[in-house]
Amino acid sequence: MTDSRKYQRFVSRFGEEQRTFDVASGESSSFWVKRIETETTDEPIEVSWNPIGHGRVLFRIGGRVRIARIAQSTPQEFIVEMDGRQIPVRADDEITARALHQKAASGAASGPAKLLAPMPGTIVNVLIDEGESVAKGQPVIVIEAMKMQNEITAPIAGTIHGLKAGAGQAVEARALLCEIVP
Amino acid sequence: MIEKKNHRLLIANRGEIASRIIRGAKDEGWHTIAIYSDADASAPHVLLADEAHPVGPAPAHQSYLNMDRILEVARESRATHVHPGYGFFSENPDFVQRIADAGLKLIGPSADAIRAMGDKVAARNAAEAAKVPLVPGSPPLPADPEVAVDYAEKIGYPVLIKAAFGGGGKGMRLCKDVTELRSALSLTRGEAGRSFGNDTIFIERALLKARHVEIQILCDEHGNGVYLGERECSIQRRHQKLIEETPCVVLAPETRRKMGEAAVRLALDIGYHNAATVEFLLDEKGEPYFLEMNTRLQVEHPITEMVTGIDLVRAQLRIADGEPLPWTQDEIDPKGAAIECRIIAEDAMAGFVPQSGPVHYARLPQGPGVRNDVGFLPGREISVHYDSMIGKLITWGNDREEARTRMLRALDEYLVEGVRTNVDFQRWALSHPEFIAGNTYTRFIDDHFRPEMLARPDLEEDAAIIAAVATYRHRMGSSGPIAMSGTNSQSSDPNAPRRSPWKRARSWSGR
Repeated sequence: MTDSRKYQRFVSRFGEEQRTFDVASGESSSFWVKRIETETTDEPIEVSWNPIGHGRVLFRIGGRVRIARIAQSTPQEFIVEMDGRQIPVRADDEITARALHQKAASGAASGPAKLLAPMPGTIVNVLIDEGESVAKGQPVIVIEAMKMQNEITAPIAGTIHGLKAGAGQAVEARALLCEIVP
Repeated sequence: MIEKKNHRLLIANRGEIASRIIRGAKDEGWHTIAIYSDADASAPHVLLADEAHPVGPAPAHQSYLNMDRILEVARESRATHVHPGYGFFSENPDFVQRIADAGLKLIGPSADAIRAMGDKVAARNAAEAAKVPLVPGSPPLPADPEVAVDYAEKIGYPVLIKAAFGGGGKGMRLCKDVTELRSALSLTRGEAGRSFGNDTIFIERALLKARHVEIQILCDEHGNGVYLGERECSIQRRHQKLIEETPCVVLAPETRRKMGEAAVRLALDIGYHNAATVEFLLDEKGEPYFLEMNTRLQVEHPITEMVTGIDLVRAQLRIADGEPLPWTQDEIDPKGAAIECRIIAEDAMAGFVPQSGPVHYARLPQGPGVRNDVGFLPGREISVHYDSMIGKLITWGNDREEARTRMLRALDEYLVEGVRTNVDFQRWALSHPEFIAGNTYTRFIDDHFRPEMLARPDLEEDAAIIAAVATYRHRMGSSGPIAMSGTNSQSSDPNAPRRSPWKRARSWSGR
């Protein structure tokens, strides 16, 4: 069966994975989506898009019903929240995706690791000094949040640079604490 | 119900427990007085109470732990009684003393009883005197780590470092060997000093394959006490309970009686009155060992209420009002089984990291045998300043299996949007074969749980589709640059929200 719809190709990436889809318009608030695999191409499925208020959208994806909240941080980047999960996902057209992929591949050489506060809280202990070398997994900073002390460990082995954290200091989630240069 | 509006109860707490206490007090006909921090001005407990008064800024130490201000509110609002709930001042003898000095009555024990049990070292001594079996442990430890190392050698690893004034699972650390012991000593001591205002610590042998089984007791002010059965609270992470159930599947009736009688004996020995919980560890042979006595209403009290039919908050109020217990031990007759899942704002896949932020939407489970005690409302923030436990889901069944399947059904209904919760983790635990078989012990999560077990590839696949469609829609320009919900006030959808509450990222539901 030939499909006369005009499809455009997009690459969605979440976590370490990516999926390629062809997307075309369907009836009123629906779309046709074909998942493009390396060997075969799936049959198109119909995806309907119906806002139901409170910032939520009711989707029918093939036979499945999903209610999602979609937040958009840039035109290509979304956080899709379904069933209590927030899933960050990025979708680009094929050309942009390929360019990004090449850029990522060339820049993938091991650079410094940013140590970020995993939660908002108060720094109660800084266990390292500027310039000190640390082993991977070594406790570096202790943050107290919601009455629990949490040891933040070094994600890689390296040297501490740009130490911004001091004991007693309040930090927001994802605040930069220091960098570890391998 | 006889109205007792001259009984004016100030609830020195927040969250789900404040609402729970207000409801019990209202059922007793008492007048209720809430307190709130700046962050809680529109919190559920504030809306439920007959009156509510501000006590300070969001951080707990400036509001819910601001003793002077709370006593001032108690005076100004002409409170006659104070219920401390759990956490905050619930086990603080100085607060209790000041309540008494102000001519108010605490819904709880005397300052002396709290002192006796709040100091875990003194509690061990009292338990020993009441012939309650004890886990091997050390006296309070001096600053020199070598003393702790020596005791640990004698007791045998693994050991637990405990804050003498800790509680609620806070201020404890497990050490498998001497290296871990050395590194954890100062951390635990520091945490103890900051959290409990006293940095005394000691060590105890850790029983790894043990179950946590606790006895609920009620004692009146006339020397009578009863036990209301047990609760098993073995499913824990970082020594904090996540799931509680009653009855405990392996507890022999004879052991239950022995533990219950020991618990009541210990309480009466120290002149205790009101509600308390005596915690035990049950080793693999089914032998109980005393852990500690909690001199307050426990988080997990609802499961006891579900099987006994006794409202523990109302019982507390009546005891504080001087009434004798209306039941003898023989009349306490638990029926069926109950389970509680603590609903916590945390990411179980990322090491149980606490989560905060606005709740956009929530759908709470309902139906037969389901009870929900919650402290959050859609549209309100879950604040970084307070406990990340935002609710408790409780189910009852004729037997454990009925309570368990009902819990799974209820968890499937439970949806919180905006803030990640542990609902999916609870679903994992309740459907684990070892949980179903009743093979629960305190290291259950450490031994069985891996974060990837909560992966939802089905949701990720659909999110990928949704993102591709969203970008396509944007490209097609079907609705201008981006049909954000924030700008579509002329939308044909009458349900479309006028303004997105999502701060960091823009919410998008337009057409």
